Amino acid sequence: MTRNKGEFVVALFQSVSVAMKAETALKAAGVSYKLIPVPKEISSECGICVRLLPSDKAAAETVFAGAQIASTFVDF
Amino acid sequence: MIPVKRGYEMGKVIDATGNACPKPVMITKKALDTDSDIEVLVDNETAAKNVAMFAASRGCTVSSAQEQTNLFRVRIVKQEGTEECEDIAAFTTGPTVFVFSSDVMGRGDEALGKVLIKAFLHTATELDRLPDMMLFYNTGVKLAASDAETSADIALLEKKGVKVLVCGTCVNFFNLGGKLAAGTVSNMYDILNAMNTAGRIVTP
Repeated sequence: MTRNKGEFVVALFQSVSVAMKAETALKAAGVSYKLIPVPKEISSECGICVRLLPSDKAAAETVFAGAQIASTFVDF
Repeated sequence: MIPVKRGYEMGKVIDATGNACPKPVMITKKALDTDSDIEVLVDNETAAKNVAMFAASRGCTVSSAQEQTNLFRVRIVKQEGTEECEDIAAFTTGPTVFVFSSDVMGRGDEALGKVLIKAFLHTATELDRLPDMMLFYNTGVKLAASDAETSADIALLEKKGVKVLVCGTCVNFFNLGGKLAAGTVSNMYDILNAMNTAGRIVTP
């Protein structure tokens, strides 16, 4: 896989349910994202996260704050 | 310690004891490439059954006996005219086909299934060993629709060389004609043939 670290950021959530809520909120706000499995280098446990372009991170943070969704952003 | 052979003429003895599954079957397969009458020794009943099943699937005559607590002897004799049944590997090394029979992954919670299928297709694009073919039918065809979030991944897989067949009847049923981002609209003949000749079928 050819990908440079920092090309994307991923937003991690406490549970799949929260990730699904986050997806709905991003979609409603028109923020570009992609739902992906949590990368293995971040966690070996099965999970779902949201991948964003770094340029969309601020918009996503605003969306999550508005929807009271707790998340952690990691460079990916 | 392998017991001495009994007094009558038997096939070449292959000692597969001490090997964990699926090694005894692999040893048997290799032995059958060069010999047509063999006796395979294994140390557990499961291995004996697997070896016997494998040999039977190749059209061989098989008999099996337990000789000691940890010793089973499987006699395998190749039969004339069963060459066409010979290579089971042809079935296990055939094309890998991913079958998407719905627009969700697994059964149970619909919303969770929709999330999982997106993750599945994303991950599929990153596989070292891509499938040879992907089939989409019933609500699975919706995954390839232009407005579906999954369609970009399907298009990417197609670009990477994966053959993508989409059920024409289903496309028609869901009014998706001309609205697919990926795949060739196909028919039951091609779809069933792809499944029937597959080496492996993976269903999310």
